[in-house]
Order: sequence, then C-alpha cells, then structure tokens
Amino acid sequence: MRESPANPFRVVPHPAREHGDPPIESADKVLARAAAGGDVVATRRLQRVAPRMLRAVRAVLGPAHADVDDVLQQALIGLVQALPSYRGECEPVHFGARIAVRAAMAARKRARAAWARHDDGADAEAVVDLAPRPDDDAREARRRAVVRGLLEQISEEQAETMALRFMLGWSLEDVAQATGAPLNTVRSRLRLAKEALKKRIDADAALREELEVDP
Amino acid sequence: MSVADLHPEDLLDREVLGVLTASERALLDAHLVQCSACRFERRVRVDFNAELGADPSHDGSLVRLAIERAAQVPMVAAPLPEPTAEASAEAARLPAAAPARRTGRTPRRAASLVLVAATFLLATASFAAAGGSFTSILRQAGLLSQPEVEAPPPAKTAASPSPVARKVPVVRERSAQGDEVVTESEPPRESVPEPVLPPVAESPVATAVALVSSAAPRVVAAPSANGPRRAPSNETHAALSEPVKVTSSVATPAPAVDAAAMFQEASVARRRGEHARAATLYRELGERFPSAPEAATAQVTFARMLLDDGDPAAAVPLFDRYLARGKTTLREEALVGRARALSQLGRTDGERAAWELLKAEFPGSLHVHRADARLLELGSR
Repeated sequence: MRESPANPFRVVPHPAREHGDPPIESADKVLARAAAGGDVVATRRLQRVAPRMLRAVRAVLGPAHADVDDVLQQALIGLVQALPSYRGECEPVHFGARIAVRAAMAARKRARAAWARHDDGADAEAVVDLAPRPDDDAREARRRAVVRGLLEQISEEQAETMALRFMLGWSLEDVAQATGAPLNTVRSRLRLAKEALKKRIDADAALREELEVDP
Repeated sequence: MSVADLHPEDLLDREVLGVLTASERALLDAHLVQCSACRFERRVRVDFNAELGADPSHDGSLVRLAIERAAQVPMVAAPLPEPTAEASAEAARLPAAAPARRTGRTPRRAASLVLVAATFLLATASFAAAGGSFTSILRQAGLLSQPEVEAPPPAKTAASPSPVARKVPVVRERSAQGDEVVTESEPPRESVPEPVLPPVAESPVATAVALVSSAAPRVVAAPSANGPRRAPSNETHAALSEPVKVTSSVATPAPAVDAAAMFQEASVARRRGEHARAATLYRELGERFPSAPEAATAQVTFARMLLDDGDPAAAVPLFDRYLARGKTTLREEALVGRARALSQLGRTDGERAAWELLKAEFPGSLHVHRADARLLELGSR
C-alpha cells in the first residue's frame, strides 16, 4: 500500500500484514471455528467472549443502565445465531463485541423512543446523570454522554464505527476486520462521525471551552 | 477538504501503542491544535476506559445469568424465518451487518424461497384436486413453457383473485415471415376461474413457516455472513448452558414461549421494583411450567429478590431446590445466596457449611474472600 498524497497521515502498514505468511490463528479463533461447525464443547467454551460483550454493552448503554443484562442476553443469542457465518475474519472477541455494540445501539434507540412516547421533552441521559459528582467526574460523564447521544444521530455504520473506536478503543485495522469494511471506508465513516461530533462540540460552549483550554 | 478534515487515525493508533516517531508526533500535534473532534476523541477514549475499567461489579454473575437466560430462548433448527412484526421492526433498526457482496442467503430470501415452495405445493394440491395434470401444474408455476394455445383449467367455483394462480393464456402464432409471435391476451374474467386455494395457514409448509416465525427469538443481526447461513442447532444453543435442555420449539412451541415470556415479564417487574407482581409471576411460572428451564432460573432470581427484601426464610427453600439440581449454571450464586440467607436467619451451622461448600466447589469465586471473612467470624464465636 502506497502512502496517499491526499492524506499525509496515512501510514504504510507493516509488510507482514500485507504480503506475509498466513496469520497464526489464535486459540479463540480455533474455538470459534469449531463452534461454528457445530462443536458443542467449543460453543460452551466460547462463553469467555461474554465478558467482553458485557463491556461493549456497558460502553454503549452506560454501566448503570437498567437494560444491560437484557441486552447482553440478546447479544449472546445473536452470537450463537451468527456463529455459523463466522469465517475467522476477526477475533471472536471482536466478533462478539460487535454484536453487542449493535444490540446495545438498538436498545438505546428503543429506550429513547419509549421515553419520547411517555414523556415528551424528557431527556433520558439527563435523568441518568442526576447524581451529584465531583467536577472532573461530571465532565467525564458529560463527554461520554455526548458520544452516546451522537450514536443515535448518525448513520448506523458511522455509529458502530465510532462506538468500536471511541468506546472500546479499537484500532482502525480491528474495526475494518470486524466490520468487513475496507480501511478507507472505516476512515470515511469516522470522518463523517467526527463532522457530526464537531457540530455538537461547536454547539456546546462549555465543552468547546474545556477542549480549547487543554488541547 | 481541509487538513483538519483528514483525521490522522493511524497516528492516533500509533500514539496509543506508544510507537510514534518524532516527526509523527509533530504531525499529530499540529493536527490536534486544529481539530477539536480528535482532541475530544483522545479525551473520551480515556474517559470510557476509566469508566469500564473501574467497574467492580460482579461481571461473572451477570454474564452467567445472561448466558443461562440466553440458552433458554427456544431455538429452531430451520432456516431463519421471515421476521414477525416485532422482529421486522427490530430488523429495520439493525441494518444488514455485512456488505451485500459478502452476504449469503439472507433470512428474507430464504423465507421467500420457502414461500415459493409453499405456493407451489398449494398450486399442486389445488390442481390435483381439480383434475389438473402435473404438466399444467408446472406451467402454472412458471416452470414449463406454455403450449401453443393453452386451454383454461377446468372450471371451478370462483375464489378470490390470487396472483399465484392467475395466468394469461399465451397464443403462439406464425407471422407472415415465419417468425414466431407470442401474444398474451387477458381473457374475460369468468373464462379463467381461479383455483380454490385453501387458507395459507392450512398448508403444511406455510404452517411451518408461521410456526418458525412465531417461535423465533428476537434476532440480533449477524455481524458477517460470508456463506449460506445455517440456523444453529438446539444442541449448539443449549451448549451455552450445560444443564439447560432446550428442545425444539417446532414440536411444542407454546409452553417454552410462554415460560420465556413469563420469565421475561417477571424480570422486568423485578427491575422496576414491582416486587409483588414479580413474585406472583415467578410463582405462576413455577406452577405452570415446573419443568421449564426458566422455572429453574427463576428460583434463584426470585430467592435473591426475597433475600434483598428481607425474607430469608422464604428464600432458603428456593435456593435449596435449585441446588438440588446439581451442577447448574447459577450454582455459585445460589450457594452465596443460601449462605447469606442462613446468616440472616442466624443459622450459623448451616451458614458455615454453605460457605465451605462454596469454597470447595468454586475456589476461584469472587465471593471466596467474603466466605473466608465470614468463616473466620463464625469460628471465633
């Protein structure tokens, strides 16, 4: 891969990734492949993916959200149902986490719709964050709430990419492998998501000021 | 597009890995000065990591409970169904996970094929009943070319128009130049009576489709589908939770679905704090579906609710009944709950035995420290 003149930030990937030997399969991948082939024991052992899925659900919903356990359950069902389609494109933990992120994003939308139906004008995020906090904690909570709120305002693909990267800290390559999208598509989704984020920052004087103070 | 619009995602990754060179650092810093979104991203990544990493909650218990509950959802060894109304709404919110080029046979397409098969069988049955030949049936299904001049099928009593059974007589003629000219003519309505079709639900295939649709759990979109999708077998699904026996819901769908729905309703009530209603539902679940896996799980969740509500005497028998099932998924939680309940009741011998059993069976449990502390306390008395 050549460095694009249009993008000075693009980095040439490690040669081994592009032309090298076949990758060594992780134990989890072997396990997931066996599970995908119907191996009952392997499926049972694949439970170890569940904590990472729980982390993803909590990232999107918030750790104290009432639906965390329900959404995790849905995600686990989704994982088992998706196993036959697993081809080892990514690590099983990423496979499971991605399902969990999608399930959690859908749950957020459902919850938001339910709030809108039952209490016009009420803000579910504001209610969740009512507890008093020290200043730093409050600022952190607000930043997290900004990201969670944005997930509902951008396209599903952008939201998923943003969640995997901002919330779970995945690398570009991890996101690309897990979503099956080319790297440039992931970059494009992130760029669009960040455009929405910039608009959100610009509309929030306190947030803008906070970011200006400490670049 | 300005430089600030080209976000240095790779450099951000390298910064996380701690492998930025000096020139890359300079490049990244220059970008960060201009780009509030990337500054925000760096900050919020740390925020999320702190929030998720600092969470000391009992993940093990929650994960095990979710696994057990997930394993109780009835599964069907059949192609993924056409979604129900609720699932359709869900699917509308969850777009296809994989790019279209990589997607195998989608559930909708698979269901469409089943529906085509159902339609074909229906047409077969109708025509057979009406004395139609197999050839005409194939023609009716569009699988054979039409004859030179096709006669309408035998007259039957009129039925509601059906696009499946509707056909247009095709007349093949020779033009003056000898070329075959195919013309279609819409005959008078009464001259092409429609076959009498049974209600869709009466067709075995259609019934199976409906059954699968109604029994299917809410489907979370698969993240990737590079080949033909296979529905997971019951065995695979049950493997998530060893002690739970999941049987096909196609054979007996109603009880499993009802038990799952009741369990779900009780759980929602419990989380909302409507404990009286939750208790009623848990008890009803145990009475109506004593052998359902949901009833077993409900014993633990109900017992923990009772314990939290200050009724340890009612909780103990529920924990006992669950523990009598052997090495079940929530055994660790049940042992802890039982020990707590016995502690509240002041039954020290029972409590001591319960903590020791927990330590023996789950030496790596998160609750071992608590057990040790409590045993120490009990031993000093």
